[in-house]
Amino acid sequence: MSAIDARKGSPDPATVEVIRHYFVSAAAEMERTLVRSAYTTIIYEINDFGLSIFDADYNLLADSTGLPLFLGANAFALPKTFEKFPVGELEPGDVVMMNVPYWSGAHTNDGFLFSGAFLDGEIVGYVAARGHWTDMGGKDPGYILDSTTIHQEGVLVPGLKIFKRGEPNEDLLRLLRANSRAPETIMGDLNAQVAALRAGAARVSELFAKYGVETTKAAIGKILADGERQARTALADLPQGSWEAENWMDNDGVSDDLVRIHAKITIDDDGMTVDFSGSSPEVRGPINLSYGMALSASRIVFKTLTTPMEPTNAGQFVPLTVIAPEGNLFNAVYPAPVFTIWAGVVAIDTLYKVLAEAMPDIVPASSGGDLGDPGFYGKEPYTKRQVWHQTNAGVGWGARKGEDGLNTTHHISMSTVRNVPVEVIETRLPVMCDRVGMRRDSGGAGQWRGGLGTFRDYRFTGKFGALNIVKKTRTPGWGIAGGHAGPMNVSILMADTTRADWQEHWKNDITVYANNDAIWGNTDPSKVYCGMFRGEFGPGDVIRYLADGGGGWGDPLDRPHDRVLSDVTEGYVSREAAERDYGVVFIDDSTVDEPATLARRAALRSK
Amino acid sequence: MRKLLAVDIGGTFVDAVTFDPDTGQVRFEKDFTTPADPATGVYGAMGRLDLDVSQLSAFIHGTTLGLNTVLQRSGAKTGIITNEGFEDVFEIARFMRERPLMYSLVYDTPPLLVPRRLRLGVAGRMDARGEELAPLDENGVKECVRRLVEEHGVASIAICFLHAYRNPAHEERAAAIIRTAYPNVSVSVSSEIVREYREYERTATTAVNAYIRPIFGRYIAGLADGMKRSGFKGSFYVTRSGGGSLLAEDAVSIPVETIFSGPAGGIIGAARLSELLNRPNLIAADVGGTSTDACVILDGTPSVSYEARLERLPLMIATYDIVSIGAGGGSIARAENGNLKVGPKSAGSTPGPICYGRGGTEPTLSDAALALGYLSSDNFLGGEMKLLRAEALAGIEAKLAVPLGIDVASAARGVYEILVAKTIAAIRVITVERGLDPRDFSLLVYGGAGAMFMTAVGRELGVGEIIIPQGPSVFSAWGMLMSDVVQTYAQTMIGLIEDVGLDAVHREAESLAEQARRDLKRGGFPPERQTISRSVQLRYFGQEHVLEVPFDMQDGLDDLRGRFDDVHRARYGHAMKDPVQLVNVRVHGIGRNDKPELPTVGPGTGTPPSAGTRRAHCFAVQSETNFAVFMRDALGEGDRIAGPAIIEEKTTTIVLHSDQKAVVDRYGMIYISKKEA
Repeated sequence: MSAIDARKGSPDPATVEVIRHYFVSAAAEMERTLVRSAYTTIIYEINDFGLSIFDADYNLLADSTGLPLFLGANAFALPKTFEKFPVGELEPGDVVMMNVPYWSGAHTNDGFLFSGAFLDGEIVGYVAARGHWTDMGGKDPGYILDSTTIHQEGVLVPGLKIFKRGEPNEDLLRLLRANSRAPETIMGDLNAQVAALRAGAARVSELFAKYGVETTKAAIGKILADGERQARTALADLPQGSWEAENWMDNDGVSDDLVRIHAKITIDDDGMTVDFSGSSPEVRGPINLSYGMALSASRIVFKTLTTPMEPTNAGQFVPLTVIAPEGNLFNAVYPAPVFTIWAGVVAIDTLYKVLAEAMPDIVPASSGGDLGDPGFYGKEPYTKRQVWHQTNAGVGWGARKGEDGLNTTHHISMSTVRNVPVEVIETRLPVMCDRVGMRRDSGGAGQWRGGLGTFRDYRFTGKFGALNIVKKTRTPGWGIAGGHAGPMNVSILMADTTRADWQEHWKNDITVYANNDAIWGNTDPSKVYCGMFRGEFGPGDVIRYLADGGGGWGDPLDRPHDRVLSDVTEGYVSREAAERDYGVVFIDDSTVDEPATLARRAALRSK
Repeated sequence: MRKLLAVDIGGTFVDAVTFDPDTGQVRFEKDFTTPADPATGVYGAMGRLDLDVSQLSAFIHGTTLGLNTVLQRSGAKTGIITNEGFEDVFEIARFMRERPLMYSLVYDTPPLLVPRRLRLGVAGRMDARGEELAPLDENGVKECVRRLVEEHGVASIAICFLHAYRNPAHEERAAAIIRTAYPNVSVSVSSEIVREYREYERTATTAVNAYIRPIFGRYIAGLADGMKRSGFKGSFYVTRSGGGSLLAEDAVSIPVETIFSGPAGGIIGAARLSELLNRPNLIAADVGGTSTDACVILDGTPSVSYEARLERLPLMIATYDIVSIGAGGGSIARAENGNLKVGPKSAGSTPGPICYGRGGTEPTLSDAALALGYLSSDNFLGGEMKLLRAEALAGIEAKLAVPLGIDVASAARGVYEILVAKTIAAIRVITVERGLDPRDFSLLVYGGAGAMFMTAVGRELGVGEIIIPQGPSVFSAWGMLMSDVVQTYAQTMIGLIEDVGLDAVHREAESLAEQARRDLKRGGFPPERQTISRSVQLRYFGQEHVLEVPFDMQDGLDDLRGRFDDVHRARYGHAMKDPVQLVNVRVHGIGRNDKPELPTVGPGTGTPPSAGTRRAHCFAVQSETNFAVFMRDALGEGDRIAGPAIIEEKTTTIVLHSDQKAVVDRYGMIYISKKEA
């Protein structure tokens, strides 16, 4: 192949394109290998993994992020592993594992694994796989909500070889199994990750062998330069300036005070800078983030603005700078607890809130704002194994100018995640779903309406653990240009009061970290309106989770009558809300009272 | 009366093909597709064959009516009846966005097939073991259907209750109530279509079935009636998405099974060739104007998947496991920021490639093929259509070469190289990623644009050989004649194989097999023309995804376990020590039809004379060189040709690069392989 164009001394455009496709398809091959052989719903339904391919200089060439939230997280972790730990020389078939959160950019349960890709004994690139492992022996099963030090969050693996020349390091595996509540499952997930690395490393080696190191490196240079140019071109179309906004998390899991997130975004000729310096300092509980995760959250927002449809590479992020001083909520240092990651989720919405100041016609209003719905933990009756099934409710997306928000989808940090089917839950867990549906009136009112969130009622048929990580249930989202926010996320725990000892059970077995009874006016002692909780539920207990909808865009009084009518007919909006928020008055469920509507809208406008 | 007729409706043409087993004769005709009234095109193409319809024993029909009905949203007004409290399952879906849109702030919402007001719930509940927790509210069913039909004018109803795959009693009862109350309303029942868990996927499959069922039923009934009036007395079959065909009378109740039957004919044909040519492992590649569809045939059996998607709707039906690549003769190339990009956009047949002279202005793969010397200006479609070489070159120069700062030849070569790379990447998905080595396969190439392009793919993919059948552009219609009647039956049975026990698996498989035999007998297949195959879907305890392994009634548990470990190791590189869990038992009932033998060609001379030479680009030596030109019609059995060479026939051009050679067999098939060094 005449890969080198003699006149320019660089690979011809076709070769660059071929090599680019090759990296992208190799990352996709790694993903398919991982997903299809994985052991937990966290991997194969929730997509809690990230796979990446790097060149020998740690430049990200292609990725397959199960979750947007892992965008670039491996790119942070790979060089940090070498910088912070004496990994030693890599050989073909070696797999290194590192899960120290400050350097992996996530939490202890995210096993970050990588291997070298070799050609003639030399490293030509790296492949990396991270995935959520069911249990690493932290203080609590499932998810850790109230740790106060990293040493309650599970066993730390500081860049050790878990496979050596293709053979498992049995000593290390024994150590991991001994420290985990789910030893068989984590071995299954480890093997799936190693299978993905093996597939990726082989593909990268093949590519370098085929085109030669020099040509491939030159093509990589072009791929990265293209990525940077695409991002800069898109950025040039955005307004320049500096804007800021704040947002709140319910609490840190240990104390009960709201935690402030503040972000400032500057766009100028050099690129875009995200600055979290104004956010709360590091807190006592595990909502702190490692800098790597702050970087990932910022990258998602940057990518959605600049290169949303392009396969990811390192070049696209060159124009982005992320500032978070050490000791800040977004750059926690040892031994701060960092388990929940949820500040990353809320930070993404905060960044859109900042951008709404700058470009209200481009970005959406707030999403449902968070990820809720119970996760279930305990010994699965069927498999007798320790499990962690997260269910993840669908939230509404914020409306944009000209577009209603998407109904019942995931927060953009997890836009690829699927919910867990009712029939799967009822087959595997002592839990029945009594109702699932779209939450009426949860879409923020606006000329363009926010998307609707979902609700589910889970009723226990046996004893089992459940928890909710949600961190945004006490402060509302926001609309843009006069649009309203949704009604907020809420968990409602309902005790089975036919049980004689329900009060004792309720008191002893359930921990509520964010009690919201006052917000919702609840006075019934057998019910709790709350955000984050954890507990051992019993037969007859019910958890209802209502997810928030997205914010609206524009004045609801400008929404055309027929769109409000359609919303009412489809049950997205109640007649009461149509009248209250939109000023649309109905004669019956399918007929608008036009004169009354005109009068009511005029009255509302004059207020 | 033993003749067979197959009619396949494609995007542009209706292909009709007939086979007379007594004479061995196969004849083809084409007519234009008539989207407004598809039957007109069918009768048109049949008319050209000048048939005595009363002499036909079977009529096999392939139609994309179901697919088009969904894409154009032209189906029946459809309602869903489900459990009270679960009316939104269909709209909530599984939440996730398609991967390419994961970072997009712009939404994409195709209109809902069944809006919220047409989805109603009734009380009644089964649990995951199939035990009734609450009885069906029969009055509720009556009231729901009354509202749907009388207030909303619904013509078709999908019934989908939780855990109906374990216990369909409520669904069956609800269906009976609706049929009694409203005999003219079409009813689709989830448990009659899918016996697997996952409520959203089952609901979506049933809703799509309900949506297309009335229009599909009317079309098939009209066609059956028309055929009957012309004197047809044979059996009427409709092609399935996952292979084989269904009796028309069955297809009208489960039309969703036909929805992806477009590429099926070619794959059925490929499976038949696999048997006739003794090539058990084939990669079948159909290269058309807009896309290339590839499917693996392993040990004579095409691979089948159960995870189809239509727009955002998952369909739990068997489909051929096809990868579709946006690479065809009409794929458009462009320069973008100093890079060369090709596809997935296609110029289609109008405006078409620049060289067709039908208004196309964007350079395509066909224009590149002309520039590289593979196509001849004068011999396209046997000379019926003149290709505009100068215009194609000018287009490549202006749109690609100048913006990229390269010459025309490099640009044309680049278009090829990129599509070759994309095609190889896609074929790797269905081979290497499944633990299959392309070197163990023959690449069977058909479709009009195939042979000028896929020979370059084959040499890089490293397949053992490339096979070009006779008449590659009508191969798909020929394949439909090879169609057997296939019905698939499945039952979800979740449990460790030891716990479920061999006896229970056998009992379930036998009960499904019995059902298959009954249905085949009803379709006119005596026992000696029935084949029953059984498989189980297994996973390691704790996994979610399953692998399918065949089993027969002699197998012990250890055999199943061993076979599963082997398949898992082959695909993922490791086996686990964990217990193995059964998920589904499947049975395929096959009714075998008579099939045409292949026509033969006369003996050749061994070294056929060339009809001239042409300058063209060779990918083996990466330079322009002299290609000897041959006419396929003049080739006979045993003829050998060494590359660089071009073999022309009316609708196809075959390109042999200089490291390739070809040999012709008694059926006129051309086998291309690597020259020995």
